[in-house]
Amino acid sequence: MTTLRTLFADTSGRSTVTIIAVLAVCAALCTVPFFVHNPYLLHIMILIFLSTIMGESWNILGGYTGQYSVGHAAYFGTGAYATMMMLQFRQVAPWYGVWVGLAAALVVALVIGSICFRLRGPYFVLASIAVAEILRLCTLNLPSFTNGAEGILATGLPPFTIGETVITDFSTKVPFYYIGLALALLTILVTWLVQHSKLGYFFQAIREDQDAAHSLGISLTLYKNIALVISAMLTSLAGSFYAIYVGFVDPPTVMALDISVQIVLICIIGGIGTIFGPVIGALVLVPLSEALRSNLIASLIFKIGLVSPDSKFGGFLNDNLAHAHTLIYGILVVIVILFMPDGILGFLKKLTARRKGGEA
Amino acid sequence: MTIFLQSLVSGVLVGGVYALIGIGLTIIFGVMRVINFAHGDILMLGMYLAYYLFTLGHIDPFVSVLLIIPLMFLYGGFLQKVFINRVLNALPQNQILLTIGLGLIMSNTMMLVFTSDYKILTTKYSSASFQALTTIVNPDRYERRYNRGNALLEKAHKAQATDKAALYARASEKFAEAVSIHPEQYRALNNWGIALDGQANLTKGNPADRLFEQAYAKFTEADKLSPDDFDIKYNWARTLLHQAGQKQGAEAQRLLTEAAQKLDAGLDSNSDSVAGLNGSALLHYLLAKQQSGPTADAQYKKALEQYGAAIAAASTSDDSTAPDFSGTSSAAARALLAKAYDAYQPPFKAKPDKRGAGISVSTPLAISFVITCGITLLLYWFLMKTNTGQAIRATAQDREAAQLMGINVKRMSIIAFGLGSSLAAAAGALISPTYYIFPQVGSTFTLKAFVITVLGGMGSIVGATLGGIIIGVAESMGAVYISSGWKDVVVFVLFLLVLLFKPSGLMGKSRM
Repeated sequence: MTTLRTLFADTSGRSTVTIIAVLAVCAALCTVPFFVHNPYLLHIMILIFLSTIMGESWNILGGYTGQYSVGHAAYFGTGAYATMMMLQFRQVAPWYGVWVGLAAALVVALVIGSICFRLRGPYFVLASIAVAEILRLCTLNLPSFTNGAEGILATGLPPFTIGETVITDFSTKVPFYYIGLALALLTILVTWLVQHSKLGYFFQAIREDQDAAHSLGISLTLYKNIALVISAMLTSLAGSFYAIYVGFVDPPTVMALDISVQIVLICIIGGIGTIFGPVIGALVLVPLSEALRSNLIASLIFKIGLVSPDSKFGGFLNDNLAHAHTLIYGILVVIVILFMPDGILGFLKKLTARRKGGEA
Repeated sequence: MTIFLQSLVSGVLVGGVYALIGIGLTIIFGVMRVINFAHGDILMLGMYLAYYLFTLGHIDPFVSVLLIIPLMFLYGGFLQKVFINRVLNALPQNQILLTIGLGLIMSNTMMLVFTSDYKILTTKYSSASFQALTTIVNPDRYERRYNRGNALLEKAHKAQATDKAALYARASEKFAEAVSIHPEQYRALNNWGIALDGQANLTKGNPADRLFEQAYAKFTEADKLSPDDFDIKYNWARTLLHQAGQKQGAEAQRLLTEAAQKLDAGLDSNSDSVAGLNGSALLHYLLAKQQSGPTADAQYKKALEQYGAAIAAASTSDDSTAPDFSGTSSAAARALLAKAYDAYQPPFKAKPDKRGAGISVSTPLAISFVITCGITLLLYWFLMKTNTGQAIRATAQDREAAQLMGINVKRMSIIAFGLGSSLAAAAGALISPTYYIFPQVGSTFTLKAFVITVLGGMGSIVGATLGGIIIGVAESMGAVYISSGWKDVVVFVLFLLVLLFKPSGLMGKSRM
């Protein structure tokens, strides 16, 4: 109730504009599949949604509470594996399997939280990595339970029905688009609710000064764990969505350290501790890395005429540029840390603020 | 026990290299308070440098370390000056992310340039190993006796006639003890039989016959345990031949026939054994001499056949065929065989020493361990005795105080990052002959480096050295006693336990 009251109390002035703008963007996003039929474009949109969910959910723990977990692959992998194992080994449809994933993520988060939250700063970072690695190695080494290094391949999704009517049979990317959009909006909404609730203020107090927050009577363990649980469950949702969308999970693709790092980078590059930071991060990172992956950048270089595709160097670029799509993450994070410590969103805000200041 | 020592030794050897990685990270952390997530990627660069210096420049990785260290020192200094120095006062999280970003750039650039193929640096000694501590810590009682028995057997074979009997007797004793420990060991039984035969051959009459009987008992037992073994049948036949040599007439003929049967049965499955073929030829020749008429002719024919086959088998060239003796008359055959075999003493075929109970040490790892020790000692000397080293330690202890004392803190940071990078790269070069080389190899080592530094205590060099060795041993013990898939889990659990119960690490109090 408190949350709802703050929600409405806040709807004045600039916030009204923001809400209308957000609603307009949502409406526009809902109509996209009616105009865009290119599956590749839809695929990129879905990846953007997925990255948004991952970034937003990390943001709650890392951005608002200041606990830099570099082990979120654990929750992503938990969600992905739980959904996939329910689907393949128990023939449970993913929309029920997701709940298993959420429950599993809750348990995993509480276990990990009880271990890692005894530590602070860099030690917390290292512990979160270690726990995620342990989980990955367990997944890899328990083939009777998880199918080990082989991973799990989905043999097909049951059609989604309500009563007798078939809503969708998942033969196109459109249903995934809407699921992704809904989940992304859900995580943004959760973040918004957290930010504008008492909970959010507790989180931010912990981020700014743990000891001061503790002395004011905020239970560090309780609120850190609440932040972790919210964050972990949303990440698990992202994992489940990824699993049913891609149809294949194995330890390196859903549980590796790279995934954890990517989740953090989406948030950092966009803007940490802000609602739309991860959205910006996803909007920048996904198209850029996809462009590299699908060789769009290489063909662009050829089109401009910088390098001839027939030359030795051109052929080399054509063959290898696609493999280095995470290069863009590296370059961007270095630029962001050195020149825009508040992320792209913070940088843009600063720019507009400066312009406004100049006009005044 | 052997397994324990084996995994301890290989763990310590790998641990030495780990220590080098950990020391690099700990110096960087000590001076800058920055956790370097690009550490493993710098190590990966060292591996690639070693690889290309080896394939293109033909410089051995253990030599190219000397080149890689200064090169990567400059590279590390560059990283510090251009990137890390700018975030020294930023949030620790941002420092971590910057190093993550730098690491991503390094690994992806390498992937772009050299593709993600696995590369293997194969030196002459890449898979070489040697046995260490075989006799000193050999804990296997069976094996020590067996090997000792073999040594005595060898000695007896070469010894003067006067010492022979005593040596054979002692060898028999050893084999008897070995067999009493492991009655199922056909090797020891076979060699015991040979030793008994050696004793019997030097005696006469009834005592000899008793010894021969004992030898046959051993061979029977061994043959039962390992029915397809040619060597046992051969030695058995050889012993029968020796006994026949002490007998006359029908008795000798019976023994020779039995020996020929045994040997020919063995030869069926092992038709290219030179000693076996020669032995068979000798037996048939001796049988022929005792007989007359068509039976003798048949034996001569058979002996010649085996003789020819032995010549063919002994020849080293591939296309050699047995010389054609068909049509040779019995008299000619007899002359030919007499020439070949009258002075022929068939050698015994003892089973070789049992190996592997000593500790097998991988040569490249051993060399790299020695180099690691050298580098570490040099580093201690540098940090303890030189002015720059002391300035680095001062900066690590208290940055501001050091600055007030007139130490150029920025310069110290550059040197520290350079040192850390060159140590990581040196470790990379040292392990390049034993590990796969690929752009993503770094992240494993980054994680290991964290574990090592935290275990030893962030910023403590002694701690990192100790931590490296502990992690190396924990890994190899985990691989042996649990399974190789779970060895990393052991390491991470150890890491978490240290983080939770002694976050300052083993050497947390002392700084550098």
